[in-house]
Amino acid sequence: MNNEYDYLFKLLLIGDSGVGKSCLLLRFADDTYTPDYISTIGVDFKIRTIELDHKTIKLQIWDTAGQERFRTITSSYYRGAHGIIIVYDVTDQESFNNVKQWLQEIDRYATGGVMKLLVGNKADLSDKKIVDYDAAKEFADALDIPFLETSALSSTNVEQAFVTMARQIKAQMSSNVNAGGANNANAGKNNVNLRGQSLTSNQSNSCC
Amino acid sequence: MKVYSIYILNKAGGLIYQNDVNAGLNKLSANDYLVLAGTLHGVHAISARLNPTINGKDTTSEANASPNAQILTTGRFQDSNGNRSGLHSIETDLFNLYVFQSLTGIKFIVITSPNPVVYNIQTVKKREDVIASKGELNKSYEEANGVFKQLYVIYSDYVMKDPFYSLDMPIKSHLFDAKVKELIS
Repeated sequence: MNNEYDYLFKLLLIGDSGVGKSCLLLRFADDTYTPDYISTIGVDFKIRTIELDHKTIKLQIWDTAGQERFRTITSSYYRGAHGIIIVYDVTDQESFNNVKQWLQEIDRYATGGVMKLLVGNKADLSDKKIVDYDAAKEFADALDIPFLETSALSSTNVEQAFVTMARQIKAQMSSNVNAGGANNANAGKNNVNLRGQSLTSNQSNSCC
Repeated sequence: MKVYSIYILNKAGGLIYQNDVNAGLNKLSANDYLVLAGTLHGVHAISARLNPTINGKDTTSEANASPNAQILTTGRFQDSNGNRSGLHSIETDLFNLYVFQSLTGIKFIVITSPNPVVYNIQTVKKREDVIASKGELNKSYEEANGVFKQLYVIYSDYVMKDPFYSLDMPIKSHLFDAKVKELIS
């Protein structure tokens, strides 16, 4: 039996082609970086183990292809994801505009209540930056999604992005467990009342 | 047919249970098992997409919808295997792999010993030999289905009814483990 990990979370990286999804994953999982652009075929995934509150968590991160022609396959991978990271390129306005479309994809294919995170990648290219931090922050706040600017090249915020997400998922999971368990404070409010009237006592008169 | 190992994948393609029943197997690292499970999940998803369409109609969605319609009209579900459009089995010289998918997307994967030797047509003298070997192939498929049915029952009883189990997370029930061992031996 497998006792090596307590939790297994599925995270998904989505966003336009060339925004740096694979580079973010490579930085987080293997702590390496490659400046070459290699288009992801279909889907790829990597695993990294982290420790949170003395629990071992395996993060299985699925990196999808941004190109339109792989869309039919990638939609199959939204199912059961615990967290979805939407990535855009801070030097490419179009990729930021398309975030709305990616959010629609999430609504269409992913489970309701999935954790979302908006990430603006390539933050190291400050001279070529087009998408303003404040504009993106405002957009994310309006949708109630956390937002970070990252750089896979200088590894700024990469660790934070994934670990924050894992922490939120874990918190959400344990709060669900607590809500399901016997919570004496709200007993009788949200729970089903099983103390009904006895059926046998009412029927005793009419019997035979 | 001998069962080599059993894997259970959640609907997201994550490995939640793995048991190498046969002690003689080489062990992989935990990450390698996860990679294996994820790859199988991907192959399953792609094979479902490769399913032919009838008159331009997507048969996958229909195949997935029909069990529900069946339950609604008859109040019963005939075949517990919801794996209608995806990968069913892989047969190789070294092992056979069978996939069973529940309606909620849980995949049970069983790896077994390979099929008995299939006679080469040229060397077969009698027609009966060919029929016999074909029968053997069907037999191992049926046997795998039998294992799946029992496994599904054990899973329902000892995992789904466990109040401390959180959905889609690794299965750590000792009772379930013991029952699986019992089933295979």
